[in-house]
Amino acid sequence: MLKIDNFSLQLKGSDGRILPVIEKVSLHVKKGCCLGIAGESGSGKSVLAMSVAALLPRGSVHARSGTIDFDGCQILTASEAELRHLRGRKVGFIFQEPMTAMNPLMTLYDQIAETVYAHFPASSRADADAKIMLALERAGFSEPEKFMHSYPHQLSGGMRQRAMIAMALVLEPELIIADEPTTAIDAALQVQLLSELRQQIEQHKRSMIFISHDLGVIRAVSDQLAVFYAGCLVETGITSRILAAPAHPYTADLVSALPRLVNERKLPVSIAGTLPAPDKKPKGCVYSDRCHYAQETCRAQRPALAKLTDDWQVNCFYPLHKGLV
Amino acid sequence: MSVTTPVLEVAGLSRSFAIERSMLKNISDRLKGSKPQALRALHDVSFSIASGETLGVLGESGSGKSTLARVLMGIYEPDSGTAKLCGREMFGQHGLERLAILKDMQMVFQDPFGSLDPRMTVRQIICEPLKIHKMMPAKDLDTFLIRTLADVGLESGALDLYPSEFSGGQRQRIGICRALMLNPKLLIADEAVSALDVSVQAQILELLIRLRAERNLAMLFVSHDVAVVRQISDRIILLYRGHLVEELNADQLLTHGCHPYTKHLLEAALFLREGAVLPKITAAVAAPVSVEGCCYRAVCPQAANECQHRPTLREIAPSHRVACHFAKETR
Repeated sequence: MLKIDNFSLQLKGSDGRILPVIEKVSLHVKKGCCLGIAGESGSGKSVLAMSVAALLPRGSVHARSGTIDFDGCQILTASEAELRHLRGRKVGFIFQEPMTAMNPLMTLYDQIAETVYAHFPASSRADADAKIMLALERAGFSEPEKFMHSYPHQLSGGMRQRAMIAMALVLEPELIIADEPTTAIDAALQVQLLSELRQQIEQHKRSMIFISHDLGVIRAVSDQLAVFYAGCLVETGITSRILAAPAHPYTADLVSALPRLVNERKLPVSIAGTLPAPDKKPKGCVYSDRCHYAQETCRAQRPALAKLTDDWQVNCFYPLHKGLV
Repeated sequence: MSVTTPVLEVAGLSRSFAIERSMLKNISDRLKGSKPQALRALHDVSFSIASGETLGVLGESGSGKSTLARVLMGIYEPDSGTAKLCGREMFGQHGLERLAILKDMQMVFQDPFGSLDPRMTVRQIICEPLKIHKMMPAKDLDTFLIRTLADVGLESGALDLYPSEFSGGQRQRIGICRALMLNPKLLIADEAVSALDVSVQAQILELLIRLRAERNLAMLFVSHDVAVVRQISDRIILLYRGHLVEELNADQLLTHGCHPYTKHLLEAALFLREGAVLPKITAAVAAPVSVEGCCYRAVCPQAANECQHRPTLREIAPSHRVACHFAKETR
């Protein structure tokens, strides 16, 4: 379905600096599967998602290499017309902030209809209406007619987020890219939105890339997991297995930074230090300056993604285990 | 202030908002003599916070938790109710008197980007409360500023930088620093860590816990995140549509939380945090604006005839209050 191979991306900073935001990333997403991408803000996860939908402004890209193949279409070399055909129709994008991603002057109905008419200019009003109603229902609006003609500011945060999902789903895309769609939403509503997305994948055999910094949310929704740190893929494999026993120290630190809900009250463990800026990454392993286990080799050389087992890869000289757990 | 005076004592706090509707509808309502509809964001909420204690406020969006924080900060006027800060009544005061009372209470906001003026340097930002309260130290200002910055984990070099030069976590530290400048007795944190990455979230929680111990700070910690609230709080209150439905010790939340709404929140949180069984999803019910009887009746799986009468908040065990007809006494 989606094959990202050896993809690197350098962006131009506002002050002329060249920022290597993604380094040699290879990832595959199968049909009917959800890939979760985890990492802190600034780790390159959103930029990767934007690259898949070719949404980055051309002017800000300094250089890119590798390939992104979506269902036979080479995203990096495709023409603008081909890309327009993909976006919205074959690839649906759910943005992080509904308040800025939606047009405040358009009603919910008009915003969704815009996508429909952009791809099918000849569709009849009744046709478009049916599509829009179905999308709103799928996104969890029990009575779409009631909200369809509201403006974004008249909706609650949860409803706006669901409206975003409806916009992404309206043309039944084969791939859904969701960039932190449930951040800052309360747990009950999150659970509801996540199970709706999950249903979309299972029942309609769509694929999804789900981006979040919250591993709990990722566990709930994804089959495969890719952990990003400073533009590098540090660990990838089956979500449940990685979260049960992370092999990369960074993944392990992320897991223990999560506040827990077990009987014993133990504070989450913070990760000391901060994510390095893209042009100030350590020479060796990108995580070496924050890692508890870093040794001389880690500071001198950059490790490569290596197989732990057939479906588990780690980018570390000294993984926490050999994948046999 | 005697030892037993709570830092904050809130009684019967209510606040409602007019529902925005077309003018025509409003006029026709007036002519018919019916009252304009109002959304009760807070309904008769009472609680207290002891010195050095952290009270967590849990609820989903629309539960009234932010309204509570804002009414206390004086951003909204309450419709009724009283609130005493260190024994002094906060509402109905004006001018300098009000300023003097509010000095003991400061706020940390949710959005580390929106809550700091981008055109002010860190020095200006953290000096602002001192200026407003005319408490600028005559000498050694810099030493004082640098010491407070160090307290929140920032270096002295930060003083003359602008907020845009900092990461989200560092900005939240600046916000906390500003709140500490007046050495308050109570800190109101409204979703103070919700906008941060998990790794940074843990850092800010550690910071708040350390400051609380060092300065004997009381905190009102408002959040939608059950796991975070449980970690940091001594006691927790749960709000549903403006009603206080349960109050209990944080240690007992998982084991003794008994209001159906509490259980509902816990199930969802346990699923997300611990990979527990997927809870049954109740479709988002657009419950009517004002329900007679129990506020949770429309969605409650246990709802019965009794629930047409509003349950009172009653104590079922020491320091455990619930507003549900079916909660059993456990003392």
